[in-house]
Amino acid sequence: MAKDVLVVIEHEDGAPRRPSLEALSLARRMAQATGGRALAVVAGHGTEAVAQAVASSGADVVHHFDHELLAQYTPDGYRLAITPLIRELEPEWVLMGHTYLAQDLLPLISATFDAPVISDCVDMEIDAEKVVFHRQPYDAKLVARIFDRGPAPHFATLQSGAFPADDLPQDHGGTVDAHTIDLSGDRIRRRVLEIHDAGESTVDLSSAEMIVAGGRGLGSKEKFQQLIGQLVEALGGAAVGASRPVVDSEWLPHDHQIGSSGQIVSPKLYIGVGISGAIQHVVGIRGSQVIVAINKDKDAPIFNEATYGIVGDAEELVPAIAQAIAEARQS
Amino acid sequence: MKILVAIKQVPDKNARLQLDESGTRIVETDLSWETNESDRYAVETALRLREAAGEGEVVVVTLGPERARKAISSALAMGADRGIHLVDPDFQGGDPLCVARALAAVAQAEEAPLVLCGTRADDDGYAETPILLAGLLDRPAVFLTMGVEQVDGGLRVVRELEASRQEVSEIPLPAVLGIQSGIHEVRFTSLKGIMAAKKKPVGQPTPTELGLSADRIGKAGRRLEVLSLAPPEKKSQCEFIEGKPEEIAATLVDKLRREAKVL
Repeated sequence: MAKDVLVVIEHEDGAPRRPSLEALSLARRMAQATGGRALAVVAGHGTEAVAQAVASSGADVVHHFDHELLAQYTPDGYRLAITPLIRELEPEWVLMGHTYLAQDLLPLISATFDAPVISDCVDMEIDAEKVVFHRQPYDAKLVARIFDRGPAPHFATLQSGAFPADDLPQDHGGTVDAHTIDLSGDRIRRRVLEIHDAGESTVDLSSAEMIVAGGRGLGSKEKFQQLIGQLVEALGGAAVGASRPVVDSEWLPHDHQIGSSGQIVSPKLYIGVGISGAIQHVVGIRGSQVIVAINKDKDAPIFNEATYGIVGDAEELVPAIAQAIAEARQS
Repeated sequence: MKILVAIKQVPDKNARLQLDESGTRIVETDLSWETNESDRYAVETALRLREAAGEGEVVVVTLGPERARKAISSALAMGADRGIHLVDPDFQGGDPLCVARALAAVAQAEEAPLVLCGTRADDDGYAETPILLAGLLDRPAVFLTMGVEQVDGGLRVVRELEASRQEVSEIPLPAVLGIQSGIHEVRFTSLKGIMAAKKKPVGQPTPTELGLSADRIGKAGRRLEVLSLAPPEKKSQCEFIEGKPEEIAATLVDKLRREAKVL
């Protein structure tokens, strides 16, 4: 039997989201290796253009569910469309980007097939025998090679940016298969009341040229303010960023948070102090031109992202660095 | 309302991890352990829901070997009423689906209308157990919960979205929630709480007592196999700067000016 790979597409403003295109790109690679097809499913309302875009971008067949109750994402709406489709198509793999929506949805579907999800994958090996995905447990301190020994369908989600989508065609000519779906409101258990911005966002880090960010490694709110403040002052004013644990501990308001649940930044200079480099933070800083990381743990994953790395105690290092920066700026 | 909270004991964040001879597991001896971060927020959320309702019971459940008993004790010291420890060897070594099966059996045996889990364990990081559990129990669920209150007919839940946005929705009970770190400030445990915890009951049901066959849980039931576990290959271009603090500072500033041209 052909080993088809099905991608569950997320869309926004009438276009497929990038993590879905990255999953489509991997689906094409997997399908090529096994002689199967790259399939996709789009659920929405008035989303014909999304389905067409996915068909042009490399899906051989796009299964499109259009219903007014699918206009707003709900796990039940999507599940009721996608689960029967998986039963019908019998794909070998079901893929999604490792997004918030995927984490809210995919395990609900995989559980129906008695399967777990190989989540947040960063790499893949494929041969005639088997597919092996790579994940990064223990906050990316280790790499695990994972094999799903259960029967198809298998489920996996892909870390954002780990699988590039650059090689997708623009005029693939895949077909769109429109499905009808019988949905009633009483089967959708999540009633969405509103979607809003999380609190007042007064801090815009996205356009900052220089950012000094601190992490839990600084130890306390006082140390954070003291050490980060020294660097900000030395730089003649830089924006202040933070990792999630720092804002969760209320050392700093929420709108200073950088990362997947905060802001995505692209400064010329990012200095991270006491930040270990959890992936949720790192995805927010990858657009930085130069990354300086200061951390006491030489194995901290932040050093995999850094241009310049300094291993040591922030309390000793930061005053010296702040002074040197201030002197350099005056000369 | 009875609230079941699933918690996990994970290695301390700063622990140095060593691999065992098989190259597929970390060495667990000599590690220090702590309750997983988002799970502590889940316990806190359960206690606040109980306090807001003025009634109810908070039951914490953990799956893990003998050492994991400490995670239960900490939750009991925070104020949970009772513990369940899935300590039987047959429970151990499973993948997230095996864990979800065991938790589903506990949720059914306890007839708990609400199950709370942390979103993501800081060790294996699958971030899927609560939603798998909801799938097995056929319950509505919300992942990345940043707020929850009881309302007529169920729960009002705030879900974290990407790009600093939030979704507010209502779901009926029974339900499962994945609680995100940061939802509430987690209380400190008092000495009184620690003393009281010692008198609180902790059950240790066996798979058979929960109606689970051994080939659906633990090592025997797992689909996901770790073929190897290793430190990442350094793809990094990171240039380490060494020396005394003053030397490091001078070198760094020089590089930022001349090489990176950002100062």
